[in-house]
Amino acid sequence: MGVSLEMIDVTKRIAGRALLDTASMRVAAGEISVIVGPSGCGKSTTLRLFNRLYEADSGTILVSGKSITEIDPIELRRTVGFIPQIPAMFEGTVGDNLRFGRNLLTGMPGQPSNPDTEKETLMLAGLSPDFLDRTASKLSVGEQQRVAIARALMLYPEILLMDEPTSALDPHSVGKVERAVSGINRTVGTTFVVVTHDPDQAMRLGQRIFWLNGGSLREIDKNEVEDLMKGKNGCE
Amino acid sequence: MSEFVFDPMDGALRLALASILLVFAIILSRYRGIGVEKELLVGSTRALLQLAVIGLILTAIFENEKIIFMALMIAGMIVLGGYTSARRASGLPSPMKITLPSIAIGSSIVILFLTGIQVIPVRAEFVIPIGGMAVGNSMNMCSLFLNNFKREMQSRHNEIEVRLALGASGEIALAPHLRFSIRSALIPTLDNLKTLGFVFIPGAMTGMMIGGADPIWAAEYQLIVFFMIIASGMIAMVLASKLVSRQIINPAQQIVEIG
Ligand SMILES: Nc1ncnc2c1ncn2[C@@H]1O[C@H](COP(=O)(O)OP(=O)(O)OP(=O)(O)O)[C@@H](O)[C@H]1O
Ligand SMILES: [Mg+2]
Repeated sequence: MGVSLEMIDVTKRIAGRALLDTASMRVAAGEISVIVGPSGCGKSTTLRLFNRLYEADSGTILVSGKSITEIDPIELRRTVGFIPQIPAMFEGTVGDNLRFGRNLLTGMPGQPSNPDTEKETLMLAGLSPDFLDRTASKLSVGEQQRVAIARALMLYPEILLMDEPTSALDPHSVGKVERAVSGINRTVGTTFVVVTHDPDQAMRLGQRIFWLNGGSLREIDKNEVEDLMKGKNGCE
Repeated sequence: MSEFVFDPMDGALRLALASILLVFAIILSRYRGIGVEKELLVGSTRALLQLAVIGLILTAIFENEKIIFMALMIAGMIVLGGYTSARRASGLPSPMKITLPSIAIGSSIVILFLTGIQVIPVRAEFVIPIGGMAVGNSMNMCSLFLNNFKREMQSRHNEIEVRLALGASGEIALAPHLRFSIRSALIPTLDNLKTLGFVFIPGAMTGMMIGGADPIWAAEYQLIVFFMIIASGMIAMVLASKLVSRQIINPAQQIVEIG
């Protein structure tokens, strides 16, 4: 089952600019939330605060009601999975990539996990199981993006943070990934926070939509998405 | 023994004659607009003064043979090496805290080992030049390693972040990049080792042969020097890799941004 995620009065400055200025948001357990906003406003930064790759300057972030500063960062990151905007593949095959997180858990590097799990996870991310033995770095960016999703799913996170997971995909593959997100959310109950630039995707996926601009996060209505995203090109 | 006999006047004359080569390089630089004339002139003058000073100091130490002077001399080299190497690591929070202990420990261990097992006699004319090679090479390898690692941190930042995001500790997330940086830093030394004697007749051997030593004996010492260089460099780099990880990844397992 997924868990809840909450940000309370968080401030985060980078290079003198407050990307978040006492911003707050709340995502209920098992919900799919979407964050939209102009480029360079801090969407990716916000996701990195949730799994503590970045440290907030002030404020509190709660995972399942517990402050993330009181959780061991390694435990936290296994609970709160993160798929970055630019997929980075490790050396080796797709299978090697999928096994990375699991092998850390068992402390046995190179040990194969259940191949069926790997295949199922790949399919869940919208890739054929034949990809397992392909060299990860040679795949197309779109394929790598789906490997990155599968790699994060292998740890069964309670919350999954996805940073523009479909930006390099064609409409057909976008559909596959979105169906995967909804499917995982429905069957496993994973909580999702998805950042996107695509207003249609925000409306299709988001049970809750947040608008990030000028340091604040504001929950918006579905019918506001299009206007806000069309209107503003820069960051305030 | 060779016919080489030390004579100050002779030496000054030899140096003056050989400096025609330098004049030639300066003319070339000027003529082709390469623009290093001033640097060549200033650099050579500085080198001349440095070597003269060091020559005087060494003469004094050689006559004295006190262990404390040898130790002080080596310590001075270590500090200078640490400082020089730290400049390669600018952008890291405190580079001196990486380079100084790494070079100090790497070179001290090999010097103490070689004198301890009496492969090298505890005499200034052995300990200082050989110690200098240990320090100098640990410094070079440390600089190469840190330079490589800084480049890895920039070009492979995403990959390192993904490892952390998948629940890897900082140590595990950095491991492949530290290994790669050490391996790359060893390339020049490994290539020299492979061609040792055929392409590359290193300083120690050259010096000993000019000084009139038997080539076999010179070769033996050269190999000892090489083993020493590799060992001190490896120790220094492994230490530096531990120390640099601690500066790059904080206790919350976050990447500390470097300049
Ligand atoms: N590690 C960092 N070092 C320096 N600047 C950073 C860092 N991370 C983020 N920034 C800066 O913070 C600002 C917000 O970046 P962020 O990636 O969060 O924006 P974004 O909303 O995700 O943009 P996009 O839609 O283009 O992906 C940018 O100006 C960026 O340059
Ligand atoms: Mg972004």
